[in-house]
This record gives sequence, C-alpha cells and structure tokens, in this order.
Amino acid sequence: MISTPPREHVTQMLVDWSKSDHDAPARLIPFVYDELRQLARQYLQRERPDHTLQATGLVHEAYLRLVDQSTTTWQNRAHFFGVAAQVMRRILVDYARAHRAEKRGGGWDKLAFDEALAPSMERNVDLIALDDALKDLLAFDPRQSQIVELRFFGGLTNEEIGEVLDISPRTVKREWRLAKAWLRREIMTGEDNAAGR
Amino acid sequence: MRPAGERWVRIKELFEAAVNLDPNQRTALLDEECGGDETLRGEIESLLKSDERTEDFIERPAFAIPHDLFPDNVEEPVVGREFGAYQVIREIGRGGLGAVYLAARADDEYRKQVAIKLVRRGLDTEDILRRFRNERQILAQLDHPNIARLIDGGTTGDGLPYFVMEYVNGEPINAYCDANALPTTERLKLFRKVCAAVTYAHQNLVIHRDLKPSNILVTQEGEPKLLDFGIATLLSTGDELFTQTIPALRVMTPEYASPEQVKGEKIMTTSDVYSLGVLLYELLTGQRPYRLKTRTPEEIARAISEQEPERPSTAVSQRPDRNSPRSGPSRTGPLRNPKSLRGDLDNIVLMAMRKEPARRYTSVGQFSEDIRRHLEGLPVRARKDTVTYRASKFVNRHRIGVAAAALVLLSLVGGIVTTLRQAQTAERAKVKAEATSAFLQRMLNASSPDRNSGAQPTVKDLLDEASKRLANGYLSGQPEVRAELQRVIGTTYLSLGQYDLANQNLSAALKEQTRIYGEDGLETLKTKLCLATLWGGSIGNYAKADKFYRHKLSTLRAYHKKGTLSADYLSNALNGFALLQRAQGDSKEAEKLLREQLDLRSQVSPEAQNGLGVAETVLALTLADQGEFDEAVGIVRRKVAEVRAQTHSETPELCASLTGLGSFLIEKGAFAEAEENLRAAETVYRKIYNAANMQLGDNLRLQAQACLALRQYPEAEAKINAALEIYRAASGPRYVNYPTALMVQGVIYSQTGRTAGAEKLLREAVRIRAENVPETHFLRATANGALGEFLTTQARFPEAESFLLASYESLKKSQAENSPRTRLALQRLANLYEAWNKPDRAAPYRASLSGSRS
Repeated sequence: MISTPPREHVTQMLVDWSKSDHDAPARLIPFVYDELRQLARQYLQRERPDHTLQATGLVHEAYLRLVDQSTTTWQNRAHFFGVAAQVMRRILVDYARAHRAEKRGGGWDKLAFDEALAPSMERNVDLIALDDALKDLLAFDPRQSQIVELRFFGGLTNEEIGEVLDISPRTVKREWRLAKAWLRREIMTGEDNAAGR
Repeated sequence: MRPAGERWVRIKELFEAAVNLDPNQRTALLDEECGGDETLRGEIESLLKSDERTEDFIERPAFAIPHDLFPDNVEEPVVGREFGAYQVIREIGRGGLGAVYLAARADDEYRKQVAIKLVRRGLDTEDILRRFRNERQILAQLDHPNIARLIDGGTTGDGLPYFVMEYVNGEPINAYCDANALPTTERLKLFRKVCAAVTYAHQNLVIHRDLKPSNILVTQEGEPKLLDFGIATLLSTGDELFTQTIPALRVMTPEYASPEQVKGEKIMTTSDVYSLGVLLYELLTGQRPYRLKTRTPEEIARAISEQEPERPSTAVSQRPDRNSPRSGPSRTGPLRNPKSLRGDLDNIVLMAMRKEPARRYTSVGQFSEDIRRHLEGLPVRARKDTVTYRASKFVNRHRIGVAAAALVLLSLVGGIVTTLRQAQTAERAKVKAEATSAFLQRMLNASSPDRNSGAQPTVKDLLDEASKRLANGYLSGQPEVRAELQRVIGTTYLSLGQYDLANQNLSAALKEQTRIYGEDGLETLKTKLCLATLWGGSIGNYAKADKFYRHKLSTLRAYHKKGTLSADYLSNALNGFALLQRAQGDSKEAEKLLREQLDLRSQVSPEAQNGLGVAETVLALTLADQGEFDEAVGIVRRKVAEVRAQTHSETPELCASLTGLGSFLIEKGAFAEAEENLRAAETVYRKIYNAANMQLGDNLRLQAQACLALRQYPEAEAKINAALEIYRAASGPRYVNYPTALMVQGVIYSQTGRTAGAEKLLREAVRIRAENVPETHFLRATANGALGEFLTTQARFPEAESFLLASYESLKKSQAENSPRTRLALQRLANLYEAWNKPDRAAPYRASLSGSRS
C-alpha cells in the first residue's frame, strides 16, 4: 500500500499538520516507528553486542533521514520530535511490560533477554508505574505530562522542548521540577502501598 | 490525589513560590497562604519533600536501548491464530496502521469466511486506538446490503483490539466494470447502488471521506460493497465537524479528495458527493479528471482546487493516446461513445465535482436521482455553469484590476460631489474638491500593484487603506471632506457586512459633523441615519436606533419637503424604522411606515427602485406577523411573477421575494415548495454577489429549517452551519437572525440525539434574545417556545411549562389568533401536558387549536 519513499511522505504529513490536519500525528507514527526500529537494528548489528544506544541520537537521526529540511519549518521539526518521543515511550513501556511478564513466567517464549544488558535501562525507575502516573498527570496538566515525555522518552533538551511546545525554556524548567516531584511522590506511594500489602 | 482545575493552579503557584525558599521562609509562606486549608498545605509540603529527594530521578533520558528491543521479527505470526471463534487463514491486506486477514469460523461446517482487521503491535498508541474504535463504532451502526458488515469485535489476549467483518471477495469497482465490459447504462446502475450505500451512511450521520475504487469492491454477484470507514467521521460529534479535517494525502491516489479536503477545510456530506463525482467520471471515461505532470502532492492539491476538469465526453473523444499526460493508470476498458456522454452525463458529473461544496448536489440522493432521471429519459437537474457564474469566478480569482478599483473609489467620491453643490461658497467647494482629488490620488498610488508585491488590490483592500489613513489624521485640516469620506466608506463597509469597520467610520464622521453642522444638520442626520440602519438592522442595538427614528423622522420629512433631502434617503429612513418597529413587535406601525415608503415610489431614483421591491416583501412580512398570511403570500407571489417578467429578472428583489415566499411557506407547512423557492433564490444570490452576504445567510438558514421539517438532517445541518458561518464572519451574535439560526441548529441536534449540545444552543438563543429584544417581542417568544419544546422531550415538564406559557402569553398579545406562531405555541403546550399526563390541562389548548383553525 505504501509505495512512496517515506521521506517525501513524512515531510508532507508534517506540512499538513501545521495546516491543522489533526490526523497527521496518527499517520506519522507508523513511519517514525519503522524508522526508529530500523535505525536501532542497524546500530546494534554494527556495534558490539554489549553496546547500547542513546535514544537522543536515534531520534535526531530519524529526523534527518525522514524529513526534508529544505521544505519544513521549525514547527514541523517540533511536531516530529513530539511524535518520536511518544513512539519511544510506547516502545520502552511495551518492552518493560513484556519483560515483566517474562519474569513472572507468563507470555510466549521470547528471544532470550540478556540480563547483563538490562542495567542500562533506567535502573531506578519502574517504567510501567511511570507510564501510568504520566497518564494521570495528563488528565489535569497535559503540558507537564508532555514535557516529561519529551525530555525523558524523547531525550530532548529544555530548549528543544520549549520549541516543541512553544514556551520558554524557563517555563519548561519550572514545570519539569514540579512534574518530577509529583511523579516521584506518586510512584513511591504506589510502591509503599505495594510493599505494605 | 488527583487535583482538579483551579486547585492544581493554586498548588502550582505555591509550590513554585516555596521551592526556592529556605525552610523558615517556606513555613512562613505556607502559614500565610494556606490559611486553615490543611489539605492544601499537606499537599504542598509532600511535594516539596518529594522535590528534595528527586536527585537524578528521571533526569537522564530513559534509555539506552537494550539489545533485543528491535529484533528482526518482533511481530509474532498471526496466521493460524484464533480470534474468538475465527482462525486466521492468510493476510489479505496491510496498511500503515494495521493488517487485514482472511479467517474462517473454526467450528463451522461450511467454514464461513470473514475478514479480521488488527492493529499492528507497537502502533497501538492512543491516537490509533481511538481511530480504530471510531471505525468499529461506525460500522456497528451501519447495516446495509452494500456496506461490508461488522460481525464481531474484541481484544486479543495481549490487549490489541480487532474486529471481524464480512469478507468481500470482489474487485475494485473500476476493474470490475472494465473486466466485464459493462455498457454505460449498467455502470450507471451499479454506481447508483454505491450512492444508496453512501446515502444510508449519511442518514446515519456518517461521512465516509475516503471514497475511491479500492474501497468499493464488487462481488461476483455484481453487488458493490463499501469498505474502509477508517477515516470516516461521525456528524454526531457536532462542532468537531468544523475542526476535523481529512488527511488529504494519506491516500496514495488523492485525486478522489475534494477541494475542501485538500485545503484542510471542513468536510460535509457534499465532500462525499464530490468523491463520487470523480468515481463516476472514471467509470464513464476510463480516466481520472485532472491533467498532471508530476503527481507531487502539491500539484495534485493544486489541480483539485483550481483545475476545471475536462467534460467527460471530451475526455473520451481525445482518448486514443495511450501515453496521455493524464493522471492515473490508463485503463483497458472499452472505448466509450462520446455522444452518449454529451449533455446530461457531462453536466451531472461536473455538477457533482464543482469546486464549491454549496454548488454541488446537496446530497448523494439528489445526485443519484438525477442519474435515474437520465436513465429514464427525464430532464435532469444538473446544468452547465452559466456564463455569468464563470465571469464572476474569473473576477474573484484575479481580484479586481486597478481600473475597477479606481471606479469604485470614484463612485465613493461621487457622493461627495453632490454635497459639493450644496456647499455655501464656491471657494469652499473648490477647497473640498481639491482635497478629495488629492486623497483619491494617494489611494490609487498606494494600492498600485507594484507596491503591493504584485497582487492587485480588492475593494476591501482599498477601503481598509482609506479608512486607516483617515483615522490616522489624514485630511484633518478639511474636517468636512474627511467626515464625508468616512461616511461613504462606512456605508460601503455596511453593505459589505463589515459592521465593526462601518461603525468606526460612521461614528467618527458623526462626531465631526455634529461639531460642524449641529445635531440637526442635514449631513449629521444623513450619517446618523446610516448608523441607525446599522444599529437597528445588523447590530441589534434597538434602543439607540429607535430613539433616533422617533426623534428625527419628522425632521427628515421636513428636509425632504424642502427639497434638500432626496427621496432615497427618506425612503431608507422609513424602511429602517419599519424594520425596527417590526423587530420590536409592532408590525402594525411597521406596515404604516412601509406604505408611506411605497408612496414615494415615483420620486426615488432608478438605483433605489430595487429597494422598494424589497420593501414590498417586508410589507408582506408585517402582514404575516399580524396573521394575514394569505395576503402576504399573495403579495410576494405577485412580486415574483412581476420580476420574472422583466428582461433582467435576476435581481436582489427577486431573491428577497422568493426568500420571503419561502419563509411563509415554511410557516404554513409547505416545506417542499418552500425549499424549492429558497433554492431558486440562493442560485440568484450566488450569481449576483461574489461574496457571501447576510441575505444569503438568511436564505440558507431558512433552507435548513425546511430540510429540518422534512427530516433531511445532514442537509439541514450543512445548511445551518453554512448560514452560521456567514453570520459569524460578519457580525456574530449581534445579528438579529443569529439566535434563530442557533435555535434551528439546536433542534437539529435535539432530533438527532445530541441532547447536551441541543440544550446549550437553545439556551444560548434564549439568552441572546433576552438581552437584545423587548420582552413582548415575538422573537423572544419563539426562542422560549423552542427551548420549552426541547425540555418537554427531556421530560423536564415544570421547566418546560414555564417557557411554553411565557411564549404563548406573549404571542397571544403580539400575534393574530390564527397566526401559525400562536398555533405552534398552543400545539406545544398541548403536547407538554399530554406528555406530562395531564390531559385536563391539555384540553383547553387543544380546543383553542381546533377553534382557531382557519
């Protein structure tokens, strides 16, 4: 079904988006997802098996490959990063879920998971709990939730986030601090309750 | 804790204030700010505590991507898996978001085959899941032999949603026609079945938005089936319809998308009419309608919005060239006979494909009906675009030239030249003339093409520029000239429906002229008359307008008697006051004023004669208000016949009389005839005026009322949306008919099950009426009546009763006993008490209802 080179396509979708095509994000996701997957695979094949990859580099590279910068604006770029962060969040949380299911002995037999590589995932954070807490945060402060998504899952800097959301980096910093405090409290409370049960 | 709204804002504020303070200051701040609110204080303190311990919590980006996150094949095989009672046999299609599989009932003897649609793993984001659910919900509502049926739906063990659909083993409609070498007649019959399916979807408030051959498969039995409602939209989401736009270029063959789709404008049922038009074009000619060189998305979008498609008959006769630069693959169907397409079929296809949604068939049903008429040798509704229309389009597209712009300005200044004659001294006249001509010169220089990056100015551009300059003090040394220019500009804005700008200019002129000529000076009164027209007619500031007419009409009559005020002005004043009296519920007084205006007939200038034609229609309206419906209908019918007999019949007065007739017929319950007259008026309006104006808005609103009464909901909704759009663009809620339009929209919502939206709209209408018209006014009663009726359907009887009684009591005073308005109010009350199970209270109203039948 999809025969046009993705580059032309993704670029066009970004341009449509700024013309208020509200379906654009949904249509972009498959392309971004495929690209991120493919890029990651290439890296992992080239590198030593214990080498891990930083998301930030991945997302930026996907952008360079997928988007024709000569016809797009900073707004298009911002939209792209927004989508990429969303996709990365999805990928990682799914991964964490599958991994958890495996540990409990559930699920189908996946490729063996090398525990030795696990530490490079945020050791201190329960991604699933964070994902749930972010959904709660989204309900009453969508902007904070988005800032966390862009920064933590998309690997964007405060300046880049400011561009994506069209706010100043100082606002990003302020919002980030409260969001972090709220999320941490939320997740820790959850753990305390679980421990106390 | 999940803090809501304001609470969270407060928490944020205090957290941000406290977080950078030292512990003692924090305590002081919280003592001060939280007062006794311990919960708030606890919340802030716990957040501050959490903040102190965050350290590197989520500070580093999430990952480091683990090694096996992207293995070569992360997707588990689907073939062989079971979904509910069905087992997957093979994949039959794959798109960006998901895949479609052929499956069969595992336990079934004859192994009934179905199609299963499944979201791709990893793509199950909120957005995509929402769209997937949307499609499932839409399909669940639709049960039609020509739409692929939803059989079942569910969620897989690992949480992916899927749905099971009727499996359509067929080929795309264009391929089917060609493979079976169907003759034109058969193609048309097949196409009408597709229309039936789309009409059914529209009746269920679903717009498909992606009609194209690959989504319309024809089975071996020759039945077309509509598939893929993946981007369909539900009209029931109300106002979202305005904001939702189509993903124009999602499809790889966007040639089926309508101009409004590629431009990202709002989508209506008429967008499906367009796509079906393109489909029919292709079925009849074997070609796509636009000539394209590169097929880039930009070029396709441009062709769709600008290029006029060639007539199908011409396209067929030029066809032999296999390497034609046409878009789309060359088809191998039989060469069709251009003669069979010429005339009707050309017109039908091109009418469906018109660039402006409002000029297409208003519904798919109407489109299909025209094809039926063609098949049966009856005359069809579709006509070629008229020369006038093409010309006006040319003018619109190229904007007006400098010469035309200059003419407009000169005519503006023309008004000033007449006043020059009245200037006291020759010397003063000369100064005025020079100032005026200098201003004109500057305007023309400022707006010449090379100074505006090549684009030629429109009338509006010139007015804006002129108005800005005058406001910035230009000609302030010549206050009389400046004020006159401002009046002329204000009046022109008024006729363009730009009320704020009209108001600004007229008010400035008035202030100056009052200073120069005094409050009762002729020029002052002339300007004030323009303002009164604005207040009374367009802005709904009745009190101000009323005061003016009451106090100054006799002065104006005196000026006219002396010969210093032209009959045109007095005629306008009488008309304005009449409209105002009517708007305030005194139709009798309005009638008198209109008759006085019509008596001036022999004195008014030829240009103002049209205005008198409109006055006759208004006279008819005032008679209708007083219950004299038959006389009213008689007047407008005579007027229509009279205008039609003239050589140039397409005039504003024809529009006004046809529209007036339409509105009477609606109140009398002759909806189909009303719609016919209104549509005829609309056609003329669109020919006369390039831009939409309020009269067209009123016409569309009335059409919506007729469609509503005929239960043609999608059409009614499209029309009322169009009317509201026109109203909003011009003056919004201040326009006298704006609340009426809200009421119509509210009733549409109510009758299509969107009760929350309906109530909001109806209450808004009542609120605006209460603010703008006196308590005794029938418009207020009408709004109360509509809300009361809605509340009755919601079984909120006591509330309904108060609105309906208020409505009836008021109408009883302002309307004749057998006027349709009073009868409607009686009807509503009777219905209320019957629904409330109080037949004894319904009885007297029922009795007056049968008693008042004329």
